[in-house]
Amino acid sequence: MPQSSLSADRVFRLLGRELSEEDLREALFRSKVEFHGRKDGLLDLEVTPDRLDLLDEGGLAWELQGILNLAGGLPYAPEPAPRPGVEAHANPTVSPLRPELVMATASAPPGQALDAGDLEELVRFQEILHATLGRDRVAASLGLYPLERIQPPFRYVLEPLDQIRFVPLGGSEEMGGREFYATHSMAETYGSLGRSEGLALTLRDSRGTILSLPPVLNAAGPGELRPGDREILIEATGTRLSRTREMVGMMLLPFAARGWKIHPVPIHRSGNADPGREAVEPRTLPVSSGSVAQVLGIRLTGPEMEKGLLAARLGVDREGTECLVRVPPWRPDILSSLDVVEDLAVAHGFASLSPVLPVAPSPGRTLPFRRFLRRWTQAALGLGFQEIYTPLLMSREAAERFSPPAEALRLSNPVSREFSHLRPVLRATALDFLGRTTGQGYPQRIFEVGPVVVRDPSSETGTRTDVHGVLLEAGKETGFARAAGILEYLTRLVGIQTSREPVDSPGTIRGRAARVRWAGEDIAVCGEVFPAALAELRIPEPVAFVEMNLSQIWSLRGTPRAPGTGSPSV
Amino acid sequence: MTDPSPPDLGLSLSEPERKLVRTLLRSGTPSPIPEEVLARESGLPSDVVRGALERLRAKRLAILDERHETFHRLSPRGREVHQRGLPERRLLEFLKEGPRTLESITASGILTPEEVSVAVGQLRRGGRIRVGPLLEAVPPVPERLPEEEELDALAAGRSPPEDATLRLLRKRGLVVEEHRSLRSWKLSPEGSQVSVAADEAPLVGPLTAALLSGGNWEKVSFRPYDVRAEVPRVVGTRTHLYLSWLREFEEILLGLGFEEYRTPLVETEFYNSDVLFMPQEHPARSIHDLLSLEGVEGSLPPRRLLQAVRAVHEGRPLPRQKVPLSRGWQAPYRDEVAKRVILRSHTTSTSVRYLETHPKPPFRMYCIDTVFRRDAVDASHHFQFDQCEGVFGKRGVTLRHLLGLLTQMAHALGIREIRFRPSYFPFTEPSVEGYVRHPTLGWIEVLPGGMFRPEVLRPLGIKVPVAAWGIGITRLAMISLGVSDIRELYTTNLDLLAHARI
Repeated sequence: MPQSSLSADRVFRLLGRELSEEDLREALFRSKVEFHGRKDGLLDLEVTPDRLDLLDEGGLAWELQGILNLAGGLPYAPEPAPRPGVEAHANPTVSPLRPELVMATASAPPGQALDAGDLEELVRFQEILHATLGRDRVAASLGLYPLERIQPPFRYVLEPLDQIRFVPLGGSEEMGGREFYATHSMAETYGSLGRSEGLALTLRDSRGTILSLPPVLNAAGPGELRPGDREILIEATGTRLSRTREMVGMMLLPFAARGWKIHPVPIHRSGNADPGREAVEPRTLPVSSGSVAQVLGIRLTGPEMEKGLLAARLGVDREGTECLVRVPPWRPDILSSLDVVEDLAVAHGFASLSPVLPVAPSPGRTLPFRRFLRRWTQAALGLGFQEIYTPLLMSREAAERFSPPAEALRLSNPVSREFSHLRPVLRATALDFLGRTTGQGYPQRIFEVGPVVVRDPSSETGTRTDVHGVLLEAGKETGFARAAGILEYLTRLVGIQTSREPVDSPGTIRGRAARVRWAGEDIAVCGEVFPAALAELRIPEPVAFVEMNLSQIWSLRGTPRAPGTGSPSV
Repeated sequence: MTDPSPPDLGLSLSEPERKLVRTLLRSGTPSPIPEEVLARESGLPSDVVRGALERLRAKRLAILDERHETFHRLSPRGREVHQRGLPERRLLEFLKEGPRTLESITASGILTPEEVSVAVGQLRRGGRIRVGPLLEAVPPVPERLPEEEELDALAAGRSPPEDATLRLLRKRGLVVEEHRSLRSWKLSPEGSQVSVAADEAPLVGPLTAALLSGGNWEKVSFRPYDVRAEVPRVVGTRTHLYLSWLREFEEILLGLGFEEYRTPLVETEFYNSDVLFMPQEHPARSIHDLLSLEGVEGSLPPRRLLQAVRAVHEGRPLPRQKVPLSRGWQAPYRDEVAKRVILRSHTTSTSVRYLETHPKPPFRMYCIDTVFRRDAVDASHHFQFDQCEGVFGKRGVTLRHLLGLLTQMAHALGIREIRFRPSYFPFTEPSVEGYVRHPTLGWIEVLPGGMFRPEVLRPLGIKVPVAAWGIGITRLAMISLGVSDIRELYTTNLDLLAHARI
């Protein structure tokens, strides 16, 4: 989950009061913020992925004000019209690479300006947004500029590298586009997002000054923010309009929480103009007390609803028990009225929602197939075998001990070589188990009931999950006859009357493996393990095994598989 | 009940034990008596004597005096040479008839060429022959050579003292050195008190079929056993401790009226994520989080379901509807992502498949099954673990019912303190996390759940509200079992598995 450390002093200043660690922890337990503690003046916080706004100082302060009943509602009203002359042009050349451009402006109220702490905070929040909502800048990325030192209208264009000359942010030397993309560390990380062959994306002002090379790096110089700045241009580029708008909407929060005035910025593209209001204006959603009751199971009066919604820091226009809710642009998690109901539940407090225990109309039921597996387990215990538990994944070597090469399914992105293949037979991981118990005396008798995965082109995943039961015995007295005797006993138990037939089974001594077929299907196999596998695993005693396909047996006993799933349906 | 008095101890002895105690008492000497002497005098086979004496020792009735000694005996070749005569003796006897050439000795056949060589070497070194063109005995020819005398002693069971002759015989491979322990026994003070009169009727040990047949058992007395004596260690077999825990947890759900459902471990991303309204570019769906299968082709779900899921993802109205359920993810939906084949990352895919195949409410379904994440294995992470998933749905179900079910589950586990806070899952709204108070770990999050979003339910044709939860049951099991390292669930310690507490 996203996490960050916020300045306690700055949050408490915005909140309007100090809180002890305990009070803060209790208050935040009611929200989607997990408070891990306060250290060196910083609050260590983690939020659920839908509430990135709570990782901003202003967003967190607003949330706390709502929870503690210190303030409520949505003190946010963007200007409907753009600032005169502030607009941008997105050149059609950008479309194949990074088509979207969204902007807004923020103006400080009288007596306010950015200080060094604000600048630090803006960069911190911006980087959180890059890493999360922006998908490490791939989906969208942000830039902030001092409107007082740059000249609108702005131009977003894909232009030849040779035309680009600028001083990268944090540097002092002017660089050409080619040199920047060839040498700069930021270009190494993000270069592929902003460059296409000999061309690169640029954002320039009307004087031709390069403000940034989206989404890689801003320019130093006039486009660089400084303490004392009072007029800010917020810009985002991205691959999709909705996500690009969300980035700008989110970045409005630090300014809105400090009372700055927000203006939209129109974007011109191929003769069309987007007035830019969608990025800055609250959306409206209706919520009624009826819909709240349906979801939460509590009936709220109109004033109760209004109070809750205000505490959730949403705007509300109420008529009776019907509310029209204003959702700010930094709340992209609110997709529909239902999400507003959740906010209402949070504001109301989950602790005040008394649990209701639904009465069970009848006793529950396990699947008949699972009851069959339990009976098989009891039979294996009765034979004196110990139940074991092994993972589904194993190494290629283990997979190929009992299966022809390439039969076992493979992961395309395994974490390690040791766990790269899915077992097609259960004896593969069970023998591995015996390879780890060599110092524990013999005889050893183990069994497992567990899933295996095999290829099945008729299934929608191209695979089938079957449940197998396997028994392995290691010791001087074991051998084919012992395994075959156990298999005969178990086949009698599951109600199969059929005889063994010889089979060439990989990993067994030739002439010492047998299978049992029923209704044309292989349902069980037994055999003596070939010494090479034992030597490889340093197992000093012979090993014999019995493996039964319990899914198959269950199906053949008259229970059809659920369509498409490969598993018995009942 | 009282402890048996010392004289009764005699009754608990087996017949061989009683016989040996009698033999030791009869000897009348406080000195230990060699084991073989006891065997001879008691008339019992030596292995029976050994076992019985050891048992007497375990019962503190007899004391063992054990000494170790080195002794010599004839090797098989030594025995053969002793019988046929030493090569040097045979050569001396031949030479008694007069000097001979080496060739004539060999030709006579009384010695093999190797024996000639050994005999000549030994006799010349001892100054008993002269070697020239002819070999000649130096009179007087001794009656017995020292080597012969030592071989005679060894053949008679005596072990001569270590000297140059013995060393020579050992070097020639005719004699071998061995070590043995001399085991002698005497009675302990308690043993001397034991009542083992010879005229007592023999006591019967094991009850045999012969005794049982025809009522023979009525004619005998049974020897009481020393019930405190050590017995062979017996180890049984048990169900696996973790799997047993899961099976017991399942009973809670059965008690709450839930019915089980299961689906395969391998899923398409459609069922694992898309139908759950998880955006296709959700970070939890990256190759860093999901385990993908190679070389298999997934197929798309039924067309109607696919169209509906595509519509909710893109924020468009469902087929035959005018208003979208929500603004969706505002991103184009991609079929190629939906078809990718993975190891499922949660059992919520089971809930979805259940709802798809059982669209008629009410719903009361649970499943406890395995899921996979792309995590490296360490004490707290594993690529494989289990979840307990469930849905409860019918008209009128609300978030409070979900809180009730989660509370009930906690109570069934013996947990009284539980509290809820808001959480987030892409497929539920509202979403909750249930925290329970653990005596040592404090408040821990173990009970997540929520109300399925309409974006999940409507494409499946479900029109009633559905509460859902997905508990990380492995973590709960580890806490309950006191296991701090997830790898311990896969323990290969057979003794530990066989001793899972009942």
